[in-house]
Amino acid sequence: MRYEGFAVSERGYQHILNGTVCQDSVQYVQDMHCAAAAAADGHGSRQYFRSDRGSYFAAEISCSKIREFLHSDVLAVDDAREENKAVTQLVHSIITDWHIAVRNDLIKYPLTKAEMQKVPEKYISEYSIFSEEKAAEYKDDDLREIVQNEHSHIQKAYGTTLLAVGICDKYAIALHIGDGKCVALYEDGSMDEPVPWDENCHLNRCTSMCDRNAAKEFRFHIWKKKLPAAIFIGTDGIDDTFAAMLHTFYRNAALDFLQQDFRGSVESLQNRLGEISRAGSRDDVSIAGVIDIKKIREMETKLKLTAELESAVSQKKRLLENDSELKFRAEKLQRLLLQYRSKAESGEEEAAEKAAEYEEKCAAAEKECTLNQEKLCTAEKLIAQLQSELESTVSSEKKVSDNADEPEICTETTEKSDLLISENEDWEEDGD
Amino acid sequence: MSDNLSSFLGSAEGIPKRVMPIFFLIDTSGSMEGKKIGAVNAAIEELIPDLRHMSESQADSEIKLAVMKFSTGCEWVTPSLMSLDSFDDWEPLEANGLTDLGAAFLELNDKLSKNGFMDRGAASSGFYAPVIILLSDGEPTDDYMSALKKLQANKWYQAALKIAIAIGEDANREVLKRAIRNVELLFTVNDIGSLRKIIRFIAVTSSQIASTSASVSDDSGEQPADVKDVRSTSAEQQMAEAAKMMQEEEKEAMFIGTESPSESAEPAVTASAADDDDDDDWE
Repeated sequence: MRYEGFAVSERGYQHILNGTVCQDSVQYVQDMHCAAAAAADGHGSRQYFRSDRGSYFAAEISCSKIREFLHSDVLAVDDAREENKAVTQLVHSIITDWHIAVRNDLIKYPLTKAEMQKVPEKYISEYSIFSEEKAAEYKDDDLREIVQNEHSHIQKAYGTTLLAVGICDKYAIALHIGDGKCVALYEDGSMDEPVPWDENCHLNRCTSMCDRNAAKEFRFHIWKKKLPAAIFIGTDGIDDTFAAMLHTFYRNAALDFLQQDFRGSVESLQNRLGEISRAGSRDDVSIAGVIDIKKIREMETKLKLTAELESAVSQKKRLLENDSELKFRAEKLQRLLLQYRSKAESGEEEAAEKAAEYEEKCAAAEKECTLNQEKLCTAEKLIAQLQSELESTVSSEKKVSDNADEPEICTETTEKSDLLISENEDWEEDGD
Repeated sequence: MSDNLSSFLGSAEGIPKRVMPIFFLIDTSGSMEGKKIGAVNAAIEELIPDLRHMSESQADSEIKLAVMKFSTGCEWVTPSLMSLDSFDDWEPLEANGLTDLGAAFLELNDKLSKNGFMDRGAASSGFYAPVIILLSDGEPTDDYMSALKKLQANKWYQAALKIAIAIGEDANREVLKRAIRNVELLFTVNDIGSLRKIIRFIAVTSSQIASTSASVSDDSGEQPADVKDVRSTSAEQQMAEAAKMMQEEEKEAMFIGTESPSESAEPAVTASAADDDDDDDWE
């Protein structure tokens, strides 16, 4: 098995300040046949007071289920409908086992007084059955039935997102509910986020394992034949930190896996997370994934050049934004200068002084614009140089591969419609 | 070890700052002419140093402003969300024309999007929920209702902390109440001193609240139940509480009226603010 799995997680800087536990969980499994990894982010609002446990269950169960799924070889069929059916069953089994885990946890550990204080008023009577006070009055089977009751909301306390990936030599699958990002890195150095985004995940709102329609809210992607060299999954603490630079971050992270042995690299990445949280989102930060180190090593030059190119392009964007602001300022100062000159000519007091002041400011603004333009030119030259280097690296690699085997036929499946929401009943219920 | 990540994280492109967006929608209709628009202009000039001080004290975020004026039609004073440096020399707004609030709502809806001002450019790691401050002294002169409906469907608008300032007795408070979710965030002012102070207070306080309550999961215990996201609701509560505290502190010097469900629509009487002008009233 050429892929290795990894998972790292760190409590968020803000959570440390607030005394809140880490609500992210990660997991990975691997064997001779496949590797799987998962990252889950428990919700932070007050009523989701056991979301750390919910995320733990989600990560554990999904890894295990995906491993079984890959072992079953059910994706060997070349039929989109059958694939869809198989993935739907996988999703349902993950959700079912998650609910069972939640139920068993509630029975084993009834809600404490402190937890009951966090329950929304409208659910208090329902949740109180699971409190330490009252749970003892019920038999375990009765409690199980109450939780299973479709009107039960108790699962909300465990609400979490989930990202999970699995890969074997023939195909790979990614599943996703809620926010966070799944990023794939390919042999040609390109990266993408093939799992469809859910527009209901916005700012701090997202879909969840605890939603009644969770099965419909899952999104997924299947890779066949053209497998990624690596797949990274990160909770939103990571993509909120890096935003437009997320791919560049993962490129650099992939390159760092070449610096030392795999587990040493994982440890180094783990050690970085605290700094990332503190300087960035301040949220819990978690990354898991699967990597083919051999493929990464083969593409090292391309990766480095692409990462440098992305940084240079980002710098250019920043300079362009500066340029726009500097021009806005310069034009405004010009207008103010003309106004005060006109007032000075009309004999207004202090207008001449103001006009002189704005003349100086206009000159300074023009100088800043010129300087920024020079930086832009330098950035553009660097981009051109890096692009040229990357093109020649790619074309020399292409020559080598053209002399090798026939190119693989790439088939991929990305599904949204059968599993995804058009409307999420629970979302609207939880909204205002 | 971790050379690549070290260089990347240490570079300017590594971890971009999060943007705290503040939108001003300013009525520049004819009735705002004179002292009212003068007070608005002065207030914006005065609040920039305060906002800059706040922005500099937060290493991971940056305040940016966008200003729209609306009278006959509407126009963005700033071409996008701008850093505070761009407001160092404030170009005074002038007042004339009608009160096309509907046009302003439509334009705001357009810019509260990824293709508008909420583009995650290279310089930003995303946005906190925006603060939207609406100032008006009169009655809308266009179809604002259908425009407001569209705006209210906008996810950024839904998440935003929305505050309105009714300037003077002729301001249509019902319209402003409809525009913002929480009527406790409708402020009524009747003199220019109050107007200047309230604009400054709202801009500084709201950006402080929005940036601390909208970044990460916050189990401070102040979250209302039932939503995975509680940022803007919690921020509204904090804003309303801060406003009440400010009123109590200023009661003797100046009285600012705020709308609450239980209060009458009659604005409170205002006393003169500590200001050099001989006459702080609009007339």
